[in-house]
Amino acid sequence: MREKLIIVATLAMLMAVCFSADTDNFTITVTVNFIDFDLRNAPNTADYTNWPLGNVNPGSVTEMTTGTGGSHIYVRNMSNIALDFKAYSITAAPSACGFGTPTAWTPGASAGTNIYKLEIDKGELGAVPAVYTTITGTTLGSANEFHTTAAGESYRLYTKFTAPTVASDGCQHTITVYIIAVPD
Amino acid sequence: MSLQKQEKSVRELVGSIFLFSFLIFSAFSSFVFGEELSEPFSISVSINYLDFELRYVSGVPYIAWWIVDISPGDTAGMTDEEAVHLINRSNIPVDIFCSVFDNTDSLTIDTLWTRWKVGTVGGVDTMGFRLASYNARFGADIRDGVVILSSPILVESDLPVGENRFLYAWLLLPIEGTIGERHRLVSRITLTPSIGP
Repeated sequence: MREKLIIVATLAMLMAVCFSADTDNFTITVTVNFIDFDLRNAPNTADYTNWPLGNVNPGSVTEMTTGTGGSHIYVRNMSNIALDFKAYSITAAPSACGFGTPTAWTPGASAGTNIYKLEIDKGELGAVPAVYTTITGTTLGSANEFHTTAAGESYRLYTKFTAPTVASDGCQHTITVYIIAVPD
Repeated sequence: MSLQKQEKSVRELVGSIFLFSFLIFSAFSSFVFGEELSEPFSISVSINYLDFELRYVSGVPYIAWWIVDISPGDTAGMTDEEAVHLINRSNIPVDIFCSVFDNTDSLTIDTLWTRWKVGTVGGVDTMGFRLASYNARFGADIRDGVVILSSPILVESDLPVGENRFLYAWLLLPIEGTIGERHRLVSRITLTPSIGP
């Protein structure tokens, strides 16, 4: 009888232990690294798609303007991690337009014959960058880094464009600039 | 349930938890280190492109306007066949300028040969030059001609993109000269981006 009681008690204790272990739980807390940003116009009322320079003289320099009515870009950063921002540009020969021989341009450290100079960097709402980063990359792998942000830090982005000193054509050229964000 | 089966269940549960955790952290590792995002914007631009040609009305490149058998003090004017066809291939509105000078390589074998100066009218060792710009080839009148000097003079402003012109010239000879005297006058046509109003 006593042995049976011991066995029962032991079993009861084991069952109590087992049932406790079966119902114990723990939580996993995780935050997903989230990268999200977009390019907005200076007053942040619409997406930024194009900077129209129109007709410019060879070798001329054009710079985005300041202020909420300016032509600069507002980079709206909604990421939750620090980011490195880079840029590269691509372009192609324009269609025939009747003004010279359509010839593709390339980016360079300085403007030249069919070579443009593209510069990008962070500024302020009321001030252009004191120093620009020259963007010579033409692929994602050769993109030039120009700015690092903290998580969620939005900023004002300015571009300065130097036209080729000599152009083989007077056609409209479209240069696509890619702004890339990667984890810092 | 026997004790052994219960222990087995616990071990399986713990093992599952560890396996699940491993999968979660592996997935999050690929998001952290491999993610990137890009956004584009474009720049649209054209270079001010200046290009033009001077041709005879026949289409041949213009070389020279020959003036022969003329007397001092006379005025020679281009005929419709001698007019200069300015073919404009610029992508912006342009202004047309003109200048003229007597080139010294036209010396004749005459110690009295004197290079002509450029004035408003023909005078002593001085010539006058006029240039008019028309969008049609007929009806030229010296009264439409702009007085051309040795420095560039505006002949026409705001020539629209794609439009050509016919240029007519008049030469007002000096009032004195020597028979057989030859001069090679160089008239330079220059196009510049239109300054605008």
